[in-house]
Amino acid sequence: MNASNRPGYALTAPLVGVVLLLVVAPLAVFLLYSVLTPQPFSVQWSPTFDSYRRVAGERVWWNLIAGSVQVGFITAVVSVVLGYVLAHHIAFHAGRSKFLLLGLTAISILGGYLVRVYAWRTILGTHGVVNTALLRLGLIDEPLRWLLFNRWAVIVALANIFVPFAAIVIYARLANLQPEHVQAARDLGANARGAFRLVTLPLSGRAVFLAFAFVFLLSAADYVTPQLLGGATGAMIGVAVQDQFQRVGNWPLGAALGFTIFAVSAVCIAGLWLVMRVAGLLPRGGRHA
Amino acid sequence: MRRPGGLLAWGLIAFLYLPVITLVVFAFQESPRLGLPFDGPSLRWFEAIWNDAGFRRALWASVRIATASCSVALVVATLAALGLRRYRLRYGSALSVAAVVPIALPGLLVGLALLTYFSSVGMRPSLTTVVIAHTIYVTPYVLMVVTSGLEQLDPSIEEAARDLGASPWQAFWRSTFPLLWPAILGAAVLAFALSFDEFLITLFVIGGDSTLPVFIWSRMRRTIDPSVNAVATGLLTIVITGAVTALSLALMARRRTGVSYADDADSTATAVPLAPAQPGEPVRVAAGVLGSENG
Amino acid sequence: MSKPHGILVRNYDRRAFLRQMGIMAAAVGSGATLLGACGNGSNGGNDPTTANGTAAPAIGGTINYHSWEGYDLLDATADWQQEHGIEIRSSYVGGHDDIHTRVLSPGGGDIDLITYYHGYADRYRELNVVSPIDPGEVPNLEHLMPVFRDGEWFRNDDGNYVGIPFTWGGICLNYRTDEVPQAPQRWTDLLEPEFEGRIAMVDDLNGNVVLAALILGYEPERMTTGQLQEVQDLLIQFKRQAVAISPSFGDMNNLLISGEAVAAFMGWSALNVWAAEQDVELECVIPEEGSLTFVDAYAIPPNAPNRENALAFINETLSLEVQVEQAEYLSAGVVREDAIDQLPDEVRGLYPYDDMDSFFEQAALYNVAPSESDEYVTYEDWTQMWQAVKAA
Repeated sequence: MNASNRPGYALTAPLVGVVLLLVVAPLAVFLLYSVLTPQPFSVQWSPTFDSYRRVAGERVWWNLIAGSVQVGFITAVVSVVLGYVLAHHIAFHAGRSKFLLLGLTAISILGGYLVRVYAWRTILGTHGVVNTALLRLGLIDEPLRWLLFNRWAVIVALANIFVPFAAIVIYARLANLQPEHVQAARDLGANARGAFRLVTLPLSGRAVFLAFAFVFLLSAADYVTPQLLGGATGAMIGVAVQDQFQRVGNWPLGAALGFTIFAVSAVCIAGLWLVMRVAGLLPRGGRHA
Repeated sequence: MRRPGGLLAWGLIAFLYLPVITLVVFAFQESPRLGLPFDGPSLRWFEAIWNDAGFRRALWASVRIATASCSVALVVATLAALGLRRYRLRYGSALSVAAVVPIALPGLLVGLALLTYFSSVGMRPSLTTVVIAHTIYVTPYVLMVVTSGLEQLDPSIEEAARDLGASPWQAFWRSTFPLLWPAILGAAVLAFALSFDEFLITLFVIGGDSTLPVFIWSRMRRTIDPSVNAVATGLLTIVITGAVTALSLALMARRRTGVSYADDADSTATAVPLAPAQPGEPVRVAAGVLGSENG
Repeated sequence: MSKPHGILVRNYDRRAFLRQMGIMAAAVGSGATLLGACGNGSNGGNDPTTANGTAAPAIGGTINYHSWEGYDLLDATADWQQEHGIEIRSSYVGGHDDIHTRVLSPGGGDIDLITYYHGYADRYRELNVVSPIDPGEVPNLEHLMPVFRDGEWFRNDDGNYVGIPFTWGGICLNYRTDEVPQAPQRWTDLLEPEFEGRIAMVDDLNGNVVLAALILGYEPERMTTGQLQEVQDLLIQFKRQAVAISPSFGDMNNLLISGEAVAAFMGWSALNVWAAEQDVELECVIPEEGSLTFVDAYAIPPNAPNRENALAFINETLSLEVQVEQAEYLSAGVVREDAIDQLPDEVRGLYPYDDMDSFFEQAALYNVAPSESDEYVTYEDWTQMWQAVKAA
């Protein structure tokens, strides 16, 4: 160990301790539990792959996983698209209101989670904001019942939470772009849309991918939003995992399910990476801009 | 192309704030119904929850937890940020990635991993386990904020101070810290707000006590009335105040150092490059800083 | 396939009963507000029927309660709490499972007071979720009707109790009188198209399974795998009609109040009172296929930190005043004979107090599935089946 670097090791030692003891170790234990034998609200220290066998074999879990993947995917697409629109506007067209928009976006990331999800009940309910507005405007005769307590309500609520995050991630990248590249494309005859497609979008591809991956993973594993807004049809795997731990008491099965949804999400995200790479949205090589 | 884009952007902002506005408006509802028509404004629900012992307990628990986890995270993450930034460590990039894992993973997995971990070492769920959980949840944010704060500073200033004979601590305290403290304070405030709002992980590691979000969650399972909104409004006030404060500190530091300043939630880094330092400047600045100690 | 032991009401004229339930619902609704307005009349210390000398270890402090909302009888015992310096900290459950899972989970050692229904008695003994109570520790036990005091559910052979019965009643079908013009006659009426997406269910494994078994004509504690599958299919049918499976009765109530739901599968009469507070009128009826009766008891987990407080509370709930109040508030039965006459007519007319013994012989008191069995499905099978229903 280079002596001049020793202070660095000392300074980072606490963080290393925290990471090893409180991040790596718990995840290892969690993985370990998924291959142990269940005991009510505990485990027996005898290894078995039974839990994974059950996950693989019982259809009920795969229905839930499929639904969760669907929610994760749609939420991620919506969040990234809307986030990109917002970020693009702030980066290139906002003018004087730039910092206001940026500040509002940033604050809404931090503006609560549980209470925001809960608020959608009042917005989408039969006597809620949307229905009352539509009734008053005479656009409908009876309140719409399909706004709430289904998968779409879950997606809307999750997108509401993740759009600002995607916007900020993408903005950070767009703000770092050198305008000369876009200028060069325009000089060579591209119109605004072409310049975007050929230059801006590929250069921001990494940020788009990052935002997508993050939103997908967190949405697919959410367990609170489906309970509040999902109703009878919007069940997701996260709730089942929670149930296994807090109600049924089968921890190994819960852990196995938890790892399964993580693995499935990772596969989907890797798939997206491939697609983006093939589509030229993740340019190879160093960062030119 | 400017106008329709602007409309869309502001429309999106309105969409983002729709739940928050709805929540707060209905906290002032007069009748117990959580639906339109609105028959307020009334403060009865705020009064009701203020008189609720369970609410006060939850609020106090949240304050204590946030303070504790924020303090620990601040120390651990600031030290680590300095270490990672100033020195080349073999595990440097691995550490940076690993430290971010708690916020990259879903709260479900982090919470359950902690639950099984505590159970395996025989630790029962309590407010202490919540503090531990919040500490690892908040540390990545603090790390990111302080790191980006450090990135905006010219390291040669501190080096110059070292060359002039200052100890590492003196060099840090005298030359780096005066420029870094907005980042540190901003990180602290941000961490506090994040801890207050954290719910997904907390639900698994908490025992019979309640933090404020957990209190709200159990209230939601009863016959609901606007008192839930009143509590939520209180929570939002705390969290958003924290967020605004953190951002303001970011802006303030921006003006002070004269360079664009970034924190995790607001990457305002533009393409403006740092003005090249005059050769003698770092020495001059450092000398001035050290000189003030002697004179 | 044997017929269920009996429906909630046997030797009663069904129409009269339904009418009485209807009257009761409205009356209790207004009664609850009256009760609130007049304030709590009970005066714990001076009440001659409250046992004097609760072997007085000093009480005071907290009681950590974990069970159904409403069973903590906060209003009925408000004066008593204040007098003895007791604060009841309540956490509420959505399903019966939540009660014992909380006690069994790590960190569950802080619970002082739970309730459970008779069907779980054997299971709770097995799981060690309840601790024995000497009858001397709850003096008011002597005032209970023999059927409750000497009943086998909560009493051990050595004379100790693992649960103190304090209330009883029946699951019924709540519906909004303004949205549902005619009371549903059968549970399966809820499967009709007009109820699509309009019924509420609650996440209580036991109640749903037993009810579905009753509808199909099976005996809940003795079902084969095939019968359980039919139960699952039937429950999934009801779920398709449901807005949501609510995590608690309170949330189910929210759905009924806001109008997202107009009727409840596996409801509870206490909801009528809660909804009346927000000016929504509910009735609760017992359809033709019958329903399940429950006898609920207080219990204290082993190693409860505030055992003495909990015991004193339990004793207080068996006092005359509190018995009458809880019956009105929950539309439930009383366990003390001298409380019967004190009940308002509508509440007294709910249950056949004139012949309790034969009623309970024939009543639909079911146990949950056994923990282990070679011929019948076990409780574990029930649990898995319910998870499958929720995921469907």
